[in-house]
Amino acid sequence: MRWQRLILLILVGAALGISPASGQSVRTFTLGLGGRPWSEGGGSIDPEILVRDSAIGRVDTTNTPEDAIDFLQRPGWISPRFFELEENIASRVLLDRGSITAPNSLLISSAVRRLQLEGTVNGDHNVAFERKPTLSNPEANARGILVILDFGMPVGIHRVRFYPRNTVVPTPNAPFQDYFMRGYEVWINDRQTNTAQNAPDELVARDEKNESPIVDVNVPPQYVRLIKVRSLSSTPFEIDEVEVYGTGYLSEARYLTDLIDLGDRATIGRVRWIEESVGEAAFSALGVRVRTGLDDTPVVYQRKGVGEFGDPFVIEVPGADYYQLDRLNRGPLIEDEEHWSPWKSAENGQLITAPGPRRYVQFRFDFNGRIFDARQVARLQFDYLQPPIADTLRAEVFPRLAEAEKAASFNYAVLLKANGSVRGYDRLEVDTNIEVSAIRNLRINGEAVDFDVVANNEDRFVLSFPLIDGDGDLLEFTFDLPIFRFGSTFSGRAYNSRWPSVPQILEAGNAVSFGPEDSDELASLAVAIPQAQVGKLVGQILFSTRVLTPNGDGVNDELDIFFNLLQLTLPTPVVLEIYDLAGRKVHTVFSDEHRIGPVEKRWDGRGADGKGLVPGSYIWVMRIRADAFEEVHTGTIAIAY
Amino acid sequence: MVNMLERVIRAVLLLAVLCSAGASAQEYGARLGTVKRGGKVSFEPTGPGILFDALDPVVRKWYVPQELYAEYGWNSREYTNYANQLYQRYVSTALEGDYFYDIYGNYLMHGWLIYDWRQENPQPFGSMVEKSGRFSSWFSNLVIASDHKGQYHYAITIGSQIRSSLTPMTFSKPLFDGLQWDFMSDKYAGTLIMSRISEPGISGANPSQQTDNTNLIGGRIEVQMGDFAKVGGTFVNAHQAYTQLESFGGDMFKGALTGPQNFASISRIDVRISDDSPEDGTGGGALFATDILIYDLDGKQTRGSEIGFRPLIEGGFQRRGYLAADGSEIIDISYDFNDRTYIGPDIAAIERVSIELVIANDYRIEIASDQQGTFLPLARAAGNVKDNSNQRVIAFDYGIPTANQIAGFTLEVDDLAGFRSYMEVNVNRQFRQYPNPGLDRHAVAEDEALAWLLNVSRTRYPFFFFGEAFDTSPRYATHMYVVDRNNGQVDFDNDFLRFEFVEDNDDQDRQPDWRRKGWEAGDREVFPGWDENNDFISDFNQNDNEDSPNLIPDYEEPFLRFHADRPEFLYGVDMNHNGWIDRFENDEQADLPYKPDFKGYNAYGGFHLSPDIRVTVGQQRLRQISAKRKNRATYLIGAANVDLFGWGQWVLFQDIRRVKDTIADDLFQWQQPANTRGGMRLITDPLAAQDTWINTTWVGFDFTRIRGLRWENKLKWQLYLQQDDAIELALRDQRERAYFLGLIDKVEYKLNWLNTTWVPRWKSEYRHQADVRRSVPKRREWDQFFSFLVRFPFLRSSSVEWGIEYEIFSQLLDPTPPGGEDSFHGLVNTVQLSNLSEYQGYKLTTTIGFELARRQFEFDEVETRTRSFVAVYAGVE
Repeated sequence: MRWQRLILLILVGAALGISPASGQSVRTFTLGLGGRPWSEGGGSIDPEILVRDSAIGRVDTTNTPEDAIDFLQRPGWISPRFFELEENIASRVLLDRGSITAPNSLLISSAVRRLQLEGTVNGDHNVAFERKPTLSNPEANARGILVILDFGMPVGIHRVRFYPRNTVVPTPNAPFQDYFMRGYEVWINDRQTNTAQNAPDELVARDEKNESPIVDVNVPPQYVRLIKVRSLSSTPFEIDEVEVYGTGYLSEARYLTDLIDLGDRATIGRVRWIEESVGEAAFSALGVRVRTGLDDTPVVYQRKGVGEFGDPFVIEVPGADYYQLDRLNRGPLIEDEEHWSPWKSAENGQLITAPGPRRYVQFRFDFNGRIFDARQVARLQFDYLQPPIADTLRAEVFPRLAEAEKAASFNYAVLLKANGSVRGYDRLEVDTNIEVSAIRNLRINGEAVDFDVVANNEDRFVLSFPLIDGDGDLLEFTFDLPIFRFGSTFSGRAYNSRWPSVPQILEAGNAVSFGPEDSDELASLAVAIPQAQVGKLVGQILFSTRVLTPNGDGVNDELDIFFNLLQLTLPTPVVLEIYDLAGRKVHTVFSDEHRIGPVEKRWDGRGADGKGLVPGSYIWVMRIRADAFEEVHTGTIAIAY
Repeated sequence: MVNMLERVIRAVLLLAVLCSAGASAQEYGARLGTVKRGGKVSFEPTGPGILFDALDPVVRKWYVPQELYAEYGWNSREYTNYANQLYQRYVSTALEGDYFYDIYGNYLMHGWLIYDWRQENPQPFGSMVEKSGRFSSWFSNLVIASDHKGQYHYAITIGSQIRSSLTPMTFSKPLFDGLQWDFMSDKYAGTLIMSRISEPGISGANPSQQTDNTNLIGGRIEVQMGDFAKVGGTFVNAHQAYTQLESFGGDMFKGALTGPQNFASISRIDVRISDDSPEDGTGGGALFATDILIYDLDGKQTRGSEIGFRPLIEGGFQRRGYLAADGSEIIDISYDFNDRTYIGPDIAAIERVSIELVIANDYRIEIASDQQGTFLPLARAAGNVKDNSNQRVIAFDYGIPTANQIAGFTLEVDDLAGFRSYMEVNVNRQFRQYPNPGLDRHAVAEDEALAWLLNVSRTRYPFFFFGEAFDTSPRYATHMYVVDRNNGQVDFDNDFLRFEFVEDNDDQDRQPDWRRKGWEAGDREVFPGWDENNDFISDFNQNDNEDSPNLIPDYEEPFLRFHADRPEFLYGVDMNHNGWIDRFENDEQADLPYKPDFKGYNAYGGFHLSPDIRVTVGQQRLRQISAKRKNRATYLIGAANVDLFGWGQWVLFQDIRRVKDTIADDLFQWQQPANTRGGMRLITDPLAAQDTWINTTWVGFDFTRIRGLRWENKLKWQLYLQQDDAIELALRDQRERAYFLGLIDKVEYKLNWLNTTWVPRWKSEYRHQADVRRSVPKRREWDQFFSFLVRFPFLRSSSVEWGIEYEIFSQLLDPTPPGGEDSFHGLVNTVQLSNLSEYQGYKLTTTIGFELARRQFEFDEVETRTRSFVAVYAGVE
């Protein structure tokens, strides 16, 4: 029976896109190739995106706003919508952001005009936009009439075709094949027309004496937002269809997963996805964002009302009830900032920075590119651990202000909060800028325990200790290192060594009181340096001697140079040059790149030719060639034999 | 009997009284005025006085006769008989107009109000501008009051479209709607400009009364120092005004929040951090920490972090110790005072809010709030820093912009030891204020930006020198968003509410090129340098006009193309290395002599080998302040314009330069694609000279020795030799060698024989071109035109003209590159009858003609086109 259950579990998990990974507690969620299909959104709860296009707003529940995502071009992958050369995309003007208008065709009622215009792009060959004399409007002017297709976003096109009824498609009941536009202009624009902001319309075709019922205009493949067809003739005309043939990818597209219900609160591990570029990678980009939530709706639905004493009020109601309300009673929709996090950017292979553990999670893919340059995504995947390592792992460091370069001791505390069953942690990884010189005095709930320093290098240290899994359990320890940058942040992650693939990020906040100077409100994992020290790239420069005597007597034969690089986040060129008193450069002691932190160099008093410099006084010049400026330090040194 | 006598006496007395009353009434002839002793009429506002003649104790109803009596002798009690004196309508001009008084009550004049601008504080609708219909109908929107004596002159000019300029960096508008008051003497000159720029008034419309408005005040003073120096000071200030406030309650020049802007307390402040150079995808804004300081009305300061008030932060990549806004990523920081974690002062008691950011790398910071929907720029990082070396604390007070001010001075030196120079230094201060409905005066924050320029030149034949240096902050702003007269709001997204101190008017015509407050129409035809005859028609399509549109550029139109050459064959200096000759460039930026966000210098010197030959050597170093971009060039230019012993004119321009240019100078140029009348197109700078040798040679020779023979030759040779390695060039899609070789030769001979004119012509146009962009195919073409025109005059003012043009186009590349044309032969055959005649005072020109054009392609069918026409033109010259 047990193996049957296991098989059943695997089958259900596979069906749900969730599969057991290393150990039963770690599950893997997969969307796309090998998991739930992209087209289904990956969950069971439709996305809820608040669109503020009115005072109240509305909720969009589609996974692919503006139908901008392509599921078919490459099976199993998503990308911005790709249009084949023979695909008529004119009907996209009927989507939310699009429109089709005839702004100077005023003699028809707006309802009729709308129906006629929609009929020119929806494939209905019985309905046409007509500009002909009628009994009620015997002098309908046809000259200058504009039909404007606004796609609401740039779409790639290469051809525009328009014609009256009974031409391309036979419509014997409407034999208006002679009512074609006798003179026309076709204008395009990749933005809203605005000559003040470099967005004038571009004329791509003009024929004052058109004799062809079917007007077919080819344009070089390009992005277009607006297409304007203008009649140049006073001869009555009609348009059965305006066909716009697309090409290439949409420049912008968004895919939203469903609200993914993990069943219970879970620690989410590293998020990874498979991404490829089409065309030049430099011209396309993919942004992935994630948010986490405590309930199944990131929108607060509100009902308006008037109280007993005439005082207006707004109260929260369930989403289902909201739509049953009379429109006048519907209150403004707002983001649920209490139960849902803001969108946080995610990076491939990294932990998400949205708060956790949470039960609900949602991802958003924002595609940007050019007409033939785009990104495609095959699979989104992450591991998650249930129960989580902890419900909250709140951590803080103290003190939070330290003088730059000076060795300092910092107390670190992590407080575990559990609202139910948790896995706990027995390993802690803390980020640093340089290697810490000592880690000591590790205590759990105030009692010293044995611990191991698993790793200690220039960007982090890792400690292991007995499992901590109780609500309110407090881990404390002390470490020593100098600070070299404002905002040195000792962010960290907690691991349970049984499931090392799913660490939990420490949340900065008040974990414990380190004394009267430790303000709860200011608790964080960042350490600042005094503002006066911000902006310097090099601290104190120490020379082992001011008089170098490279005569082999073992005393001051070599010069030891020590300095700290501050503030920098990238390796930066540092040069030390020696000049004689006449200002001539006689030697470059070193010229190489260094990271933030201490630097030690040595010079034997010889020049580039290997010969010792002549005795005398010299000027040394140290240059730190940073992006913002070059910081220069100078001093003197003497050489004697 | 006694009674009878008594009655008679009474009747006589009554009649006498009536007569005397009637006679005395005839003397009240001054309408609205007081008759002074001697009959003089005064219109001084003294109030009604005692009329001695009206003291008669009569019961009969009587009023002082008014205007109709004065003008027409009309009296209500008199019998009107028009048998002899015919009735007249009230046509006297004395009956029209009004009486006007100055602020002291002095009578000014009887007439009409033409222009009235007044502001009264504190009161609603306290700002009023009125331009009567007569302002436009009588005075064409311009009135000038002036006076002078001796060397002293002044003029007050009020107009809707005044060409007004203070200095090129502070105020320069082709259409200024307001008041300009100028003074000039031998040594001093001064100008004061004023306008309610949010609504300067429309002639004939109702008086525009506003509570919220935007005013501009500015001026300039120049003092001649000795005979060689002129010192000037300039001031321009535009500020929002709210007339419900007292004028002297604060600093007028810092402006005030409008009513709608101060209607509610700020409940949310948003800060946006993005990448100032998003194209590189890395090293964008790095946010280390943020905090907020709240100052309440009691002066108490509350720090957000100390009360647990943290912002909602959305976006940004988590890096070690900071959030990064790399590439297109955006970090949105939102301080929401309605958030449940906020326990600071009540928002109605907040006087000032300051935000601190610890930030680094290539950031761009913008701010907004719930009272200011649009994000407005606050700060940008200098350069393109990626290594955190510019980490700093930026603290700024939030506020809504209320004023923009520029103050500066100029020094102009003329011939001091042979030197001429011009220096201008300006400080731009932009003010903003924090709204609080409970306050009349608000906390003011300000930003400051500096701009200066220096030009020095000296000529001492045969040597000459010129140097220019400048530094214009990226924050230097010469615009102000004005109040929307409809709702008192300021929409920072609406260009039609953006008033420019310095307009964009590259073609130097009467219309600003862009669409801004005061000139919403824009200029749809901007082609600086291409209209040398100032007829507002591009010189490349001279025969185009609204009545008779021409869709073919002259250099492609049969017969006309003999004279008109393509713009590619022109020569000029291109100091910004964007591929366009500088004097033909049109952009969409204010016409500052040096653009904001740039600093650097350019200097050249040289000598004349002869008066017609000169050699110039120079160097320029430009840097874009907010980005790590530069434009460096070292150049050698030779120019000669020599008469070859009467044989003709020989012209040479030789320009060789080494260029390192990474600054994008995009343009908005007039182009005329085929079958269109032309329009403005965005031209992106291809950055073709990032490390490049550029050689440009232009040689022209006009042979003039033989009368009637015109022989012209032009050669242009331009070479871009890239110095970057092949991989770098491949990534930029650029060729290592890009060139343009163009050669134009044309010969025309005009012969008059037997009263007919014979004109044979030949023109050859050779082009060999490889664009800098690899994606643009190479071109190698040779186009020749042989044409022959014969003109036969007949009768007195008629003529028949026959013309034939044979074109041989040779495509010299095989296969024909994409977009290129195959070889072809074309023939255009035209006949035209012209008649000149006088008709009803007009000179009529009538043309009747027919044209047949055939084109035989090498690989395609024959194209035939015909055109017939009858056209009549009327003129007076």
